[in-house]
Amino acid sequence: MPSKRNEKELDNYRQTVERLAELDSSEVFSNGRPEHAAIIFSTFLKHAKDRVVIFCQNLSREVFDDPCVLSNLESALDRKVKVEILTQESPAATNFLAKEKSWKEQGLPISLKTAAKGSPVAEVNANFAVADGKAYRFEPKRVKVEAFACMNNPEAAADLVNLFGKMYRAVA
Amino acid sequence: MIEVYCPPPYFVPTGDPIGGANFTSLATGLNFALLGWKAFQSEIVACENRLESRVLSSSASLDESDKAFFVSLCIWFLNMFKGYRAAAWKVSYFLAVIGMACGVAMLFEGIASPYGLILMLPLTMRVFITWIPLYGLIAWMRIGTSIMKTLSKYRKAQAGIKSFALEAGKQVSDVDKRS
Repeated sequence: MPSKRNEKELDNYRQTVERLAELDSSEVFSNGRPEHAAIIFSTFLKHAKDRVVIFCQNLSREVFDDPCVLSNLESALDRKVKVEILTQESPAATNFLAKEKSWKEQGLPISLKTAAKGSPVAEVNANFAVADGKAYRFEPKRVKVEAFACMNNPEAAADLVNLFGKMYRAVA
Repeated sequence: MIEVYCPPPYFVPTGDPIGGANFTSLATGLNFALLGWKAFQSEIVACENRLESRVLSSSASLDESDKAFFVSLCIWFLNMFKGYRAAAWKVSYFLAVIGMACGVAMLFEGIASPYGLILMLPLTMRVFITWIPLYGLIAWMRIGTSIMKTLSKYRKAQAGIKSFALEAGKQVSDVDKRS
């Protein structure tokens, strides 16, 4: 059960990330907890207009079963934002998986692929997500939930989107 | 024996270590320290509120690119200020303890009581004057170094994205070609 202080801190973090997204800021900011990651993904999805790509280890429950992430993902899909997800291991977020199945049945633009065990994609050390070719979240070491993110860096985002494309095509 | 700086006109020993006057001295010293503590707390909270509202009003007048940097800078500053406030609490606790210690010392030394308040004044002022600017200076130094460190860390990290993307892309393509 999160403490009041913890909730307040998360609320401050959410407001800051929201503000940076609204300002289209190129300032880089850090995130060191799964709750922070959930806030960043949720903000990406809330502000996305075109496409969101996510490359992660296993769609952790702490992040992708977060109600805020799920509701913002649903509304992004309703706005016809294309969401592509590539995981390195079998997804863990059960609520997400159940919803993803129903979204696919409704014909919403979501796709989920999982890399084969031992394949080069499964061995990539870093994880990342990119929204609309300009906002990104980059986790240099997937074993540590320590990442940095930026709401407006098209250059870095393009590098990551290109890599995502290559990896996505490499996974059957 | 604790040595306390006492201006000569206010130093009035009674020679009666357990007289009621000495208990008044203890109470006065403690009371004064607590009053100082309260005033100090409310001043810091007011200062933080003023700062927060100034941040918001200033950010409204900046252009978009400056705004983002300014906002994140201010968030840093506010966080650091909160750290400073936490440190300031410690100073105020210290002040209260000094007040009590001084009162007890006066009790045992047999210093006259109604003047305890005046005796406390130079000591309390000394704590304020010595510690507060020191904490302020430390806080500002921490803000500066933390901004510089974080900015250089992120610059390096952002530069690392390109090399990571190239390397990982090559790794995936090589396997594709082989298969």
